[in-house]
Amino acid sequence: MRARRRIATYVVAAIIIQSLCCTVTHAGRHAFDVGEKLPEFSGTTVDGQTFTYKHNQSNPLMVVFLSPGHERSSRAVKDINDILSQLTNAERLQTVFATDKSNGFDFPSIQKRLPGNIHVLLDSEYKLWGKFGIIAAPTVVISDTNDNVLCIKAGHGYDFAPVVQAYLNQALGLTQKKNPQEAGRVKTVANDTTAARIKRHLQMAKLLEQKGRLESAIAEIQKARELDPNSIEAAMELGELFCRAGRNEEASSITESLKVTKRVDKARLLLISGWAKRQMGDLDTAEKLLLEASKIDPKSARALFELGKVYQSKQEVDKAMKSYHKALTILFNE
Amino acid sequence: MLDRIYKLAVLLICVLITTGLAVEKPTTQQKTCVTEECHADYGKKAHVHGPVGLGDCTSCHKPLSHEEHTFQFDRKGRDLCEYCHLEQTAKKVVHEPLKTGDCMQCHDPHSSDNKFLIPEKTVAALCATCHKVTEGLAFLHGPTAVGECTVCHTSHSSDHADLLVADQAELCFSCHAIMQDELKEFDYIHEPVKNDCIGCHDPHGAANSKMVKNLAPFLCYLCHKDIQKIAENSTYQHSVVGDIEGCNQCHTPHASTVKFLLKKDAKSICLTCHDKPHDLGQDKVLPAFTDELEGKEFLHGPVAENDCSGCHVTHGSEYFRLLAKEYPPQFYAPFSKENYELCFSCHSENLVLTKETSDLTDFRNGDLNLHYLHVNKERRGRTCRSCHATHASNKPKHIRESVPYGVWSLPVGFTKTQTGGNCAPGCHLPKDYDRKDPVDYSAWSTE
Repeated sequence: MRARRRIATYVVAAIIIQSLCCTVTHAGRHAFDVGEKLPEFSGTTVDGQTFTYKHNQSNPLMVVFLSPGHERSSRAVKDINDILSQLTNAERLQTVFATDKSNGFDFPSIQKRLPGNIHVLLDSEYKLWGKFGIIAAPTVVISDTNDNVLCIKAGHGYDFAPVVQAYLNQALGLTQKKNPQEAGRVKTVANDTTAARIKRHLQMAKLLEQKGRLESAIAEIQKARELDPNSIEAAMELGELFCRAGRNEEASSITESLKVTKRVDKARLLLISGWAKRQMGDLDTAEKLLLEASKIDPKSARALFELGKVYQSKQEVDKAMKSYHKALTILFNE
Repeated sequence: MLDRIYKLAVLLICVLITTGLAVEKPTTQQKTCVTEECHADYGKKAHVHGPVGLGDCTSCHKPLSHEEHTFQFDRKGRDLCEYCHLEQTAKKVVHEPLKTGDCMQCHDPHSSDNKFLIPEKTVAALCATCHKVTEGLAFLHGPTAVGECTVCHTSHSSDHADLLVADQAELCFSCHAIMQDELKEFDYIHEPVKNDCIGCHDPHGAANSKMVKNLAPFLCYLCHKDIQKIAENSTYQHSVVGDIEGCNQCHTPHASTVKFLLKKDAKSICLTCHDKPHDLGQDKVLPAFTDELEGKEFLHGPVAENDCSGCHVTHGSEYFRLLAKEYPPQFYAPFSKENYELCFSCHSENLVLTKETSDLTDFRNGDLNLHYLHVNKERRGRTCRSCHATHASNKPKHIRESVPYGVWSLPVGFTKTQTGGNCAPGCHLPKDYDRKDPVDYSAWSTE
């Protein structure tokens, strides 16, 4: 029974592997794949020197195959020049330009920036091209400090620069936000998402509030809430604005309907409730709520200020002064 | 007659009442002008000018003659207000009424029911008396829509053009903060996004959604005249480019992580339309690109790199199928370099110019370059498409399964080996080639 199950597992695994293999597509042929060792090679540079690439030198390498007169090769050289000019630790990178004709690119200006690191090989017999299995220009091959191939980028498409840049960063061990495999993934500004629109309404509400236009500010936040009725941030902002505008009942109604989990949100909710209660004259409840808010978020200057006002109304001058002082200390970062 | 007497009586009573109630102008110096009897309204409105509130009318009005109750302004023109409100005109750009000292165009100097002593209920209504910027607009900018002109403009003076409260780009980003944060992640940013949002958007509103000044492509053509020229004058035009909002099918207007502000990778963009056949007219149909790729194992380089622009241009072309350069559409063609410009934009022309090579291609028998042999002929050179499928195939090197020859479809019968391969096409008898152990072709004719 167990043997049958094992056989069935193997069969299923084999089917999955086969189906995966069948979906793999191939662009052409190269003499190596990503992850394999880059072959050692040597060649003659345009100024008659011999360049030799040997393993175990602990230097990353970029080999760029180019054809002068090809527009895409020219654009690739320009991009690579830009990338190298901004690259951290570029002096650790060896760059080889393998070209089938001797002229056509402004290599000297690149070499001037990184003397000793840029090598231009004249490969009119296509020896290195054949060795690497390169059939199109431009093609960029990047290997890491362990001589393993990280990337083979053929052509000069829309994603050439970000992909080459990301793999060079990886080769040099530089930290980067993007995974190099995702460097070519297209992302655009998402300024028309609901989150972005909510943020704009909240931002404008803040501006209006600063200008003393409380009713307009409230209208803006209400627009944000229409976009996302569950937005905690919008609800909190609205609650505070209702308090500022003296619309205490509405502020209280928001706090009653809101369910928050974060401590900082809880503190803000208590502040709004306490603030509204103070303005409604329920000083004892306000004091209780504001004390709790201050306990959860001791950095809330507004909670301390409101508490001060509660004490002031209760004629508890010392407590009021102490609370105001604490609020000011936080505000002035003392 | 009686009626006439009645009218005269009424008139007489009115005259008596008005003269009786009328307050005589004081003829001596008064402590204040705002009393229950005189100028009472000035102090009764919701917002009162400071000096009026203090009863200090002489801050602005200088008595000429107490006996005649005549006054003149204490200072002339804008100096009258600037004497106290100096900071309002201190900046480079000054609002026109202030320049001419006509502060009262926007403010009541005594009192008003509205904040800032303005005569209208809102700032927007006040601005609209001169600046009719929103009339007939279907889409309004948020601040304009809610009448908050002063979110962007200052009323008196500014260091920025158009009385803006900050530098233009900085100002837009002050609300569109999420956009500014996001932009930091992008290497490719549309130039106007950096500092000229109003290049594309009308900051007050527009007839178009997103407040764009015009729809694409017309808006885009304002700057991208080169593209307009290609799109409108090319022999082969890409229909989507001329469509309303066509540009936005492929490009994003603000920023992208890749060149040309593409919305997605190039292939995905193309497949948004080319996933189905397109009728080209005259009984011609452009097949669905997806059908050509489906289940195919070997892709042409640009297809594998998701970069259709490796061979096609997107806005318009002089070559069929929007190809970037010359590429013979037929099976046979006399060889000339110019005929193969498209292929030679990536592949070395030496591929078909060199009779013998040991490295340039794997399609060789020993060192005999079989590309040269097939293509480089004065009369019946085989074009690239004779053997290679341009997009994808299930044969290595994206070799075709079969070749269209008139109405026939001749199988190619290509098999790859470790050191060469063989073909069994309809074009000639089956032939092998081997790079290490060359096949003897001496028995074959040169053609």
